[in-house]
Amino acid sequence: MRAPSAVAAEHFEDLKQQGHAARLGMWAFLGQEMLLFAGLFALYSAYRSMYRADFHQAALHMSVALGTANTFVLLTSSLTVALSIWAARARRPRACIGFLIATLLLAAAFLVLKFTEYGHHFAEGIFPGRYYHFAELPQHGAHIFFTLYFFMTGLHALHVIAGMGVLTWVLLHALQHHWTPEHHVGIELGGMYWHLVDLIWIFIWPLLYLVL
Amino acid sequence: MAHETRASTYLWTWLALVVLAVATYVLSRLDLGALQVPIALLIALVKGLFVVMVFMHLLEHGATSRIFFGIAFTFILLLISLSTADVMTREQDLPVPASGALAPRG
Repeated sequence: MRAPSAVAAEHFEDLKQQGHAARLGMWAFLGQEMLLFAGLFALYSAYRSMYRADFHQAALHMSVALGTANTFVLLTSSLTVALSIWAARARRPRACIGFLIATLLLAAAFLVLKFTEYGHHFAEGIFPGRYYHFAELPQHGAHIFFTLYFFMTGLHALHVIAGMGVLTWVLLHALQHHWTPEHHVGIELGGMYWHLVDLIWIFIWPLLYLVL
Repeated sequence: MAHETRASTYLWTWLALVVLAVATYVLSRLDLGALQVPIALLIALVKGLFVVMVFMHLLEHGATSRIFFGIAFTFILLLISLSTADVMTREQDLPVPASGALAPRG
């Protein structure tokens, strides 16, 4: 096994303090990510109370099967990435690599389902903003619902893609046996970013697919 | 820092999340009237807490991290609740969309 590059930077007392600072920085970043999405949730909440009946009609048109399948895909991917960190801490590099690959495959499955769903919408004329021309639901509220839907799930899908990039970086380091019980801040932070993606979907799923 | 989380804890957390997701689905198919959204949000909050505390290791991390998360969460609540309260307590009719502003094409 290659010796890890586990040396604290000059301005830190030791590795423990450096890891603590890294996690704190990650929480500050993730807190801002949550606030970014919170703006969209606030819009959803306000428009829903304004166009209750239209939102009801639009939600009826959503594919509950695809949305629910994606919920279970993301929940399971959160488990596999958590287990990859457990494996790194337990000095099981092969299990760590396996769990990371499983997470990436689940992430890809999520995107395939999501884009399949977008394909169905586009075929019906459901587009965001002024390109919306869905004949079945011409109401202004349905139009707003689907525009919000595209913004919320689209921004979320961008985070899924970014998360896959982060996890690929983590995987490349895992393949070089970089993560050890003493030094695994990188895989931990990558995992936290991935869990954020799951966390946001936990709220998107009931609000856009289930609540009528 | 607390003890490192065991693999079984992650598995139990995942199982709890799956059960809660199934509960969300089943409850959404029942006619709960005005309680539908609060119940769905309550379950989502519990699921979110599981993810944040166990998967994201907030239980393991120090108090400062918890304060950071708590501040973000407080501002999310303020943002969503106040903007919704504003719209819900308005008395006038819905605004008529300006012609062409957000109106469907064709």
